Amino acid sequence: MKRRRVELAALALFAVAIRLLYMSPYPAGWDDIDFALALDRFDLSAMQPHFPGYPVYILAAHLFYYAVGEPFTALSMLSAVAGGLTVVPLWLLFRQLGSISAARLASILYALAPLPVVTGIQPTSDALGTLLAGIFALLIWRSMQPEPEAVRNRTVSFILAGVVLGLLLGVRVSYVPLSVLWAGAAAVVICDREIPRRQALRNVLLSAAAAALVCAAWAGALAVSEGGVAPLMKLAFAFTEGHFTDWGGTYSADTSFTGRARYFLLRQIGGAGLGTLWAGYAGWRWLSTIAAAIGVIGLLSVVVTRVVRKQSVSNSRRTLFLLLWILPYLLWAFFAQNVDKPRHILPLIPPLLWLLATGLEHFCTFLPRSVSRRIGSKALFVCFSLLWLVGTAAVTYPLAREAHNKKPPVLELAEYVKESVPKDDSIMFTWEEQRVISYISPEHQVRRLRHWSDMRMELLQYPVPPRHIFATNAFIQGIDRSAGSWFNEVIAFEGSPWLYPTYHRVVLYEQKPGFIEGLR
Amino acid sequence: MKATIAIAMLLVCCLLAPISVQAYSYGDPNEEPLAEAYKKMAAELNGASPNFAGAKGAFDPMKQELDMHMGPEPAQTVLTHLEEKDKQAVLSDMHKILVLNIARRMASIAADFENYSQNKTLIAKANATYEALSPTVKQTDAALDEKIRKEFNNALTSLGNPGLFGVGIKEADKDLFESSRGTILNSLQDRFKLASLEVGHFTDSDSPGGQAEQRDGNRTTDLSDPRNWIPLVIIVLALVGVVAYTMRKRKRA
Repeated sequence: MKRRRVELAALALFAVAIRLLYMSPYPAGWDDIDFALALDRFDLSAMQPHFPGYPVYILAAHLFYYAVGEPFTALSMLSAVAGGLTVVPLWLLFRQLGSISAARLASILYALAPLPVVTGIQPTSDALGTLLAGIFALLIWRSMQPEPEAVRNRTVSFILAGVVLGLLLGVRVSYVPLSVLWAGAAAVVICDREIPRRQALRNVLLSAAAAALVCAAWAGALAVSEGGVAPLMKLAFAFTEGHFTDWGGTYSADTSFTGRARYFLLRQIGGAGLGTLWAGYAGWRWLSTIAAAIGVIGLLSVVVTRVVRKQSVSNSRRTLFLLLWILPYLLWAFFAQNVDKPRHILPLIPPLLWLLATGLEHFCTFLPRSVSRRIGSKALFVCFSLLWLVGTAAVTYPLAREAHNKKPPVLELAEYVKESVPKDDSIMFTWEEQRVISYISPEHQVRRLRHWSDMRMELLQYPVPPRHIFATNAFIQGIDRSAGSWFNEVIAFEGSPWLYPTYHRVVLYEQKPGFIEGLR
Repeated sequence: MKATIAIAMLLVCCLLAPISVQAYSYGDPNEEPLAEAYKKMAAELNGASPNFAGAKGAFDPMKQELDMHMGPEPAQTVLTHLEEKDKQAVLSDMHKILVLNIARRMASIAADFENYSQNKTLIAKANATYEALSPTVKQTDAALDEKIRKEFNNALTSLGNPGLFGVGIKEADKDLFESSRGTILNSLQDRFKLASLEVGHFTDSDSPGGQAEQRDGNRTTDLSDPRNWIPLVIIVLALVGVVAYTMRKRKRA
């Protein structure tokens, strides 16, 4: 027992340490700037940060901000600590879900896999959200346990799960589909014959009240920050009514369902999340791909043999738990979130890793007798595990190194603009890069727009049109008319698409002579 | 167990149904229609050949609001100059109207300085109005443009901030606001050659968008105000409650 604790502490320390060592405290896009500005001055209507406000995340970030005084370092440090500590609830949960070796493998994989590491070093809210999601899942599992002697612990776990759910929603409202897990646990508690019906109902009410209370607390804090409930409601309606929908179009809505599904599953969950193969990227990725494939085969073989032998497919409580954990969020992330950004699938990585690790273990025991007898299924599992871990680490390492040593392309552009682009008699057309450029160099005229008519309007504001007109590739690709032939490339900045999903290649263009005359 | 799964699935459906399938979008809640109208007019007039009909089309929706807040004179002048097809005069009239609009927004802020939520919107609208003037200012006097921008930042700071969970509270500072307001308005009055900023009438109903606005918003920017502490207290109480409940249960067992 004690050895296990030491092992867990060592793993957590290791996970936090690698994230702290490779911290990437740089703004890579719009949201990062929002969070940094929010630390200085919290103002929802000025998008510091954008709606719905991430109040619990910003509050947690303030702890680090007081200590280090630099917003991006503070945010990255919070990601590192939260991302690393996530292995603790995962380990405790996985241990109860199945074998210790699968739990160990899945937890170490979470410490090393590309997406958990990348989100654990960048200044975003996903790492803290997934830490809370992990704690939440652990508490829910505990409250679903059948042992009669543990009724007291189950009650406490369930009420605490309500509190954590409230905090989780205060970090990322977009994790709301995970609350289906809560509903599942409530159903299990109510249907449980070990607990008197009245007590069960009371527990459910208490847990719901705890969640509601915490949500009310952070919603109240948002209302205070916005100057009252009415202004907050007004802002919320303005935001959700799509009053300002000119933002959209970050992912190509025209791709087919199967194309989108393939991208979501193989590129985002596989390539970005677990480090498996994806078009143009191979090398070490072969190892994780083979390991993951074996995991899938192992899982399928379990299901198939159970069905053939007409046994129940698996422990039904565990199946229910995993289904409720994975399925609602998976559907939500696929249909309602930006498929271009792999960080949205981060809360799915823990249960998927555990399933694959368990599948791998089953595979090793199912192998033809001749093989497993000679080597031993345990030794086989250790071999596969080591190869998988080495492959994963080898995929993650160059990403972490680049994130740590090299600035994101958007930031490189912003710094180039500050240094080398004249701030007078110039204007620049961009898309989301605007937020970073204006943060780094507020003196430059930068416009975020998507319509040719808007650009024309902006340029005709000047009695004499600006001498230097710049544009970025995101602007030229996004605008509703072909504009590329009017511009010459000035400079390009590149980074890994696994680190910067939408802005990994940023190009600055300047207008060709005659542009203004043509525009009039 | 079958019943459990059925109930759980039902709950899944209930929870997912009302959530509209829509990704987050972002936006700017602080637009000023007058500034947008001016930008359209300027674009119409600065084209290869000035389009006065187009400029009038952009201006017309603004007339009623202008008459209400500045009296009939400014809008009438613009319309006359549009009819006379005098591009420079129209633009110059509009510049003056924009300056008056900034003065109007600033006066509304000063009149009810404690109303944080309203003033934040008003300062954003005043700033958006200046953004429309900025190209004209910047091209002739970049230093002045920078100075005015800095003062708008100061004016925003002067409103204070209620903070989040009591963190990041900043006091409102009326003196700072008045000094920024003075600098901004004096600079603009000189630059656009206005005789007086007192044109028009400034009614009490003056507020963002010209509509009566919620005014009982929270006015605190003060750590000692208990309302700032309520959210933290609730969270702490919830946690303490859970812990106490656990301890009691443990003891009983």
